[in-house]
Amino acid sequence: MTFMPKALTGLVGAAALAVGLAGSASADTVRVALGDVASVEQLAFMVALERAKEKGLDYELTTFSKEELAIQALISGQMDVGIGTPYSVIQKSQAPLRNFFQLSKLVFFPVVTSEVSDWAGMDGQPITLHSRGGGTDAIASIIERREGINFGERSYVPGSENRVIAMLKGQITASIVDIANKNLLLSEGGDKFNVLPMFDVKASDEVLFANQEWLDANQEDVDVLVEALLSTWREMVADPTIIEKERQRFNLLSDLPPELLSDVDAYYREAVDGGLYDPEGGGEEAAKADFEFYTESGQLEGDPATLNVEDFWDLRPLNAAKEKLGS
Amino acid sequence: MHDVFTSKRFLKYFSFAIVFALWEIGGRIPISPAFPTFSATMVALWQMLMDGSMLQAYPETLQPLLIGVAIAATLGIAAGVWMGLSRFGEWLLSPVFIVAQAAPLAALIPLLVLAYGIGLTAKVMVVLIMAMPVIVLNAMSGVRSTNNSLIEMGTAFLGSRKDVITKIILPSASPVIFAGLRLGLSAGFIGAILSELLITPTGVGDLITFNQSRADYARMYAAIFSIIAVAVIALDFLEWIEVRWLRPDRKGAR
Repeated sequence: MTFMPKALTGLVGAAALAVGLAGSASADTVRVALGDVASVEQLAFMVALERAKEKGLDYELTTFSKEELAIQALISGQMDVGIGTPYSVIQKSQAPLRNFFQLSKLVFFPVVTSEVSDWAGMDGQPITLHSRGGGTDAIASIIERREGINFGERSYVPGSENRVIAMLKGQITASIVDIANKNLLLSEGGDKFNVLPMFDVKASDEVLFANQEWLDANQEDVDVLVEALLSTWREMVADPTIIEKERQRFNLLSDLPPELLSDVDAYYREAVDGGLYDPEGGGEEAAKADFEFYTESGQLEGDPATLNVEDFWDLRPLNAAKEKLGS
Repeated sequence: MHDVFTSKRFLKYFSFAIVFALWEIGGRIPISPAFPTFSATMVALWQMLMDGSMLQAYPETLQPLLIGVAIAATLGIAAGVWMGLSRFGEWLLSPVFIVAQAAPLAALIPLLVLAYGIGLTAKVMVVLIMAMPVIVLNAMSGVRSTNNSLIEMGTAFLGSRKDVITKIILPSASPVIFAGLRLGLSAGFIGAILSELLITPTGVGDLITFNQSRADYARMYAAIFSIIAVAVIALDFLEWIEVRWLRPDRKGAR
């Protein structure tokens, strides 16, 4: 049994690592965890971060290969601010996480190959979604309930862009993708794909969250960040081209190929038109919509009417920013 | 009494106990809220066994593993023996396997997905790429290291080429071939889990990812613990087959 000493050194190593990481936490820099490679979709958030930096917020952006790892780093205290919809995490985990700003809503479109023209045709058919327990998985569960159908096997491929490529290559026949990729699919695939009708979702897709203790201890930083976010979101909803202008000013994502960057304006125009962004940053209303949605999809337990907003959201920073910027 | 404490069996279980105790202590400190105790992990493991999620996950994970390891074992031993017997075979194939062994597989996964899609084929390929090189290269070096005077003796006694291969070279190479198989099986486990974590989450890889995304770390570590346990049992089983059926000379050496 030669594996035992190995396991032992592994364990000791992990312990040493945990102690080391906890010790290296610096108080001044806000450590932001991105669960995905930074691309055009994250630009609005990156613009807001740069604007906050101008106001004196020192931040550090770390990209994780997986959302799950980013959440874990946040719970362990190795990161300060994370992006996701951590409702079930908040309900389950011992770490007191709180949401404090809604970045985007779940605006997604079910697309299928053109052999299928209505939901009844999807009964028993396989569907490919983002991740188990994620937003698109939740949408699929609610569609099943409302349309009275059952999807066949569900498989998971993270990233709308990857699912669209697989659809174009004919490897998958049904998926739920975001607005930009739905448009890409229809423009590339033309009549080969159908978009099925979708119920109206008001729930959050991406929310900023942090540990309550950190939120309390760093109120000044949090306020600067949320003010920058709120003002950027309001300006963006009024004029989506602001993101590309600010991207050029801050020289963000300049290593991306020009073809992708030339789409920034189009992406934000589509996204704003599609209602992806709430210019008021979510807050209580978003929390209630999320309770409805995520209890129906099974990620949250309990009756949405009795769930307490304060158990999931810290509304103080958003309210402070609204007061400062005026409504 | 003294015999009991130094017996192999006792030491084996004792070292398990030490690791689990350290794990329990580490979880109770706690090192991090994301690090559950050993007992919480075992409770989660029990729940996952009872609610059927484990039973559902394992066939999915073991399918590409078994297919991949079976192909790697048959093709790998055949190729390795040929490469050991013939310089031409070695010249032709060994660079492929040496490169495959050295290549960081995780970086090649996008290429595999491009070529084989996201289904079973891609996962079997990952298992193959992990398992094949060690099996092939061990079989080759096993054949190569056959004692030359035994081969000379065989030919001196007018043994045919076939006799020499089946009665001298293969028996002499079999310990190294089996070592290669065991390494190949454990590499196959790595490949199967890697493909489930990096291509599409299914089976045990899905249990790990899903519970990590819900911050249910006890269940996440229970899934990891279970796959390690299954891998260890599978390796032990392979060794048992080897000793029991194929290499009676090693009986008692265990």
